Amino acid sequence: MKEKDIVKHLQLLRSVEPDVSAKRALHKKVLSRITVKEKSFGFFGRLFVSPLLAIELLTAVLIFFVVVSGLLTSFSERAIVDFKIAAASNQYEKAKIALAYLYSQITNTQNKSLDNKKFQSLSYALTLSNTQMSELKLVGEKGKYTSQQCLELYESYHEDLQKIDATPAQTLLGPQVKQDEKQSEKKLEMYDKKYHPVAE
Amino acid sequence: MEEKLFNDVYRRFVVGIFRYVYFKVSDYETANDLTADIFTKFWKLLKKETVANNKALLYEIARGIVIDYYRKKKNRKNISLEEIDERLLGTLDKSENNLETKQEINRIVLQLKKIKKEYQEVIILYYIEELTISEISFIFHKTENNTRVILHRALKALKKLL
Repeated sequence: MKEKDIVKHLQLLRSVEPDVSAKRALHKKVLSRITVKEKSFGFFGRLFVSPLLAIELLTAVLIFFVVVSGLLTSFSERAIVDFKIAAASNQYEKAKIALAYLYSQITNTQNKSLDNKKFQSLSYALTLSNTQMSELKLVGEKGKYTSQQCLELYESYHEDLQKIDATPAQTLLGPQVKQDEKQSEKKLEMYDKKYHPVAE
Repeated sequence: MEEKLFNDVYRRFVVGIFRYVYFKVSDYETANDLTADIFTKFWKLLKKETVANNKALLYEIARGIVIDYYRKKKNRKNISLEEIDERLLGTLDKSENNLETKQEINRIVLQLKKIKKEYQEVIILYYIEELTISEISFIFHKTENNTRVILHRALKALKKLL
């Protein structure tokens, strides 16, 4: 037999190969061995080997950041409002800032469903507005604000309180809102007596 | 990165490695186990260092693992290859032509088994697994010229038997 023929015959041996099921079983065996070895690679090593684990971790980190940033947003919002109030020149300005914050929180609650974060913010805005409004001098302060400006602010405050009744927060904040409404109504009655003594 | 490379190397060479090991150990189950060992070892190496020639390294590992296997079982009797395991001839159907091919394959393997082990190996690697002279010399830790001489002598030895 010539060398060329021998080589041809030898090449026949290339058709010797395991069947599909054997190949599959072998693949499984190799994969299982490699996976077992990976356990010794440590946590970060496994992240590179298992993309699923990396995706799960990334999702958890994202959720954490969304929650934390959400909390931080509401905290930072409150801090900004507190800072603005502290820096305001008179009580009328302070009350105006508190009312603007209350209005934004009511709008926020009306537009979207109520969650714990929004509820906390609305409750805080309500307390803040009540505090700032109750410190207003109804007769005004000379050179700072007039009695008429106070009346307008109280009317706006009263409207806002009534709006809360139409939000889902009403069930939880109902008693507080009712109490604040009573207080503002009393103040408005006082204005009525002052500006419309004939009607009385 | 290593995973992609490993999968690629596995897909390309698993059949060849299995065949090489089977010709060396003559037992289907043992070839299966050793092939898994070879790829596990290759994966470990891949994680540690950059590999210049995957194919050559894989066959070098295979050679080492087969040598280890024989070292461990030195007290046991070697299995002689009478006939290729049917599970390895699945690609050939049962037609008459293929029956002849199967007989021819068995005849060549039987004769191949009769020549020196080093000759068997160099023939399998060069003519069946299509490794280059340079790759074989890397596996054998010999010079390329030396490898060429061995291959020439191996073919001559087989020619006498066929």
